[in-house]
Amino acid sequence: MKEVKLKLYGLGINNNYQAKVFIYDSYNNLIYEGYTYNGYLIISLNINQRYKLVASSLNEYINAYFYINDNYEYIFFFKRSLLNTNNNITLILTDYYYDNLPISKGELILWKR
Amino acid sequence: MEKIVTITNGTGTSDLINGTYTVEASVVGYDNTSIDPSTLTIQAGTNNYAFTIASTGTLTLHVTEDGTSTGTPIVGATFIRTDSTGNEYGSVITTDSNGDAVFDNVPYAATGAPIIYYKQTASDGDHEFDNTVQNTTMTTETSTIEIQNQPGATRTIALTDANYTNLPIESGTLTLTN
Repeated sequence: MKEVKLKLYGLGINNNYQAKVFIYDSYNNLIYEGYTYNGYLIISLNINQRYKLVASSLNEYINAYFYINDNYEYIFFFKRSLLNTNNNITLILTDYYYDNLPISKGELILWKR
Repeated sequence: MEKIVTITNGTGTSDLINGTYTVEASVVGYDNTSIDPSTLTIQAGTNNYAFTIASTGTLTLHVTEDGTSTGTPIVGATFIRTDSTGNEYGSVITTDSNGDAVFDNVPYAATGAPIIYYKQTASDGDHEFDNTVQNTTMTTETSTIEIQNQPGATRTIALTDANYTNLPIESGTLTLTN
């Protein structure tokens, strides 16, 4: 057995909502049922064994097999974390003809397609 | 639904979801249709995106000995655009036979035009110049600023014998390299 960290992305800003998680062994026996804390859970699993993770959060599911090797951390993604992440984006606006000359003030208007 | 990102000193931030956006600019003094790129795709893992915008004004710096439009032109004086603290941008421009150094593609607007900073980096070797950061704003597409580069003052240099106090050296030359 070794202790591993299962990290789930897509649990909101500051992980303020969590996921319910089920872990099954290679014989499809349920070996863990619980909730993530701060976006992850720590669990002891057998090395060189395959497991299945089923997680649910806000009507979205992860259903993934994973194999325990020498790594400590294993990462899983809710689809929303890949498709609809709310990113803090920095836009840099400079003069076309004067390299790197910052534009002192103005606005950029972005229309989502 | 649009997102408006305010730009200050070249940078603006906003919370934006992944996806493709059409980008419009609202920058006083610049040609807002020149925003590049005009389409932005925000994707996970990339949080910084760069844009450029261009302007179409022309600022002429006319350099003469007396700082007037009819004065003796200074040929070979150099200038560069800067920000307010003196950081340099773009290429050095040099006065031509008329004493004109021309900055193309600078911003202008009837009201609220951005400040244009520049400084002189050299004269022709025979004239004094002010190397501090200067600024102007342009309310029309073209503008000319008169700049004075006075002739170097006449200096008296004394050369005496090191071992015989005040004994003038009768003849010779001294070469001063700046």
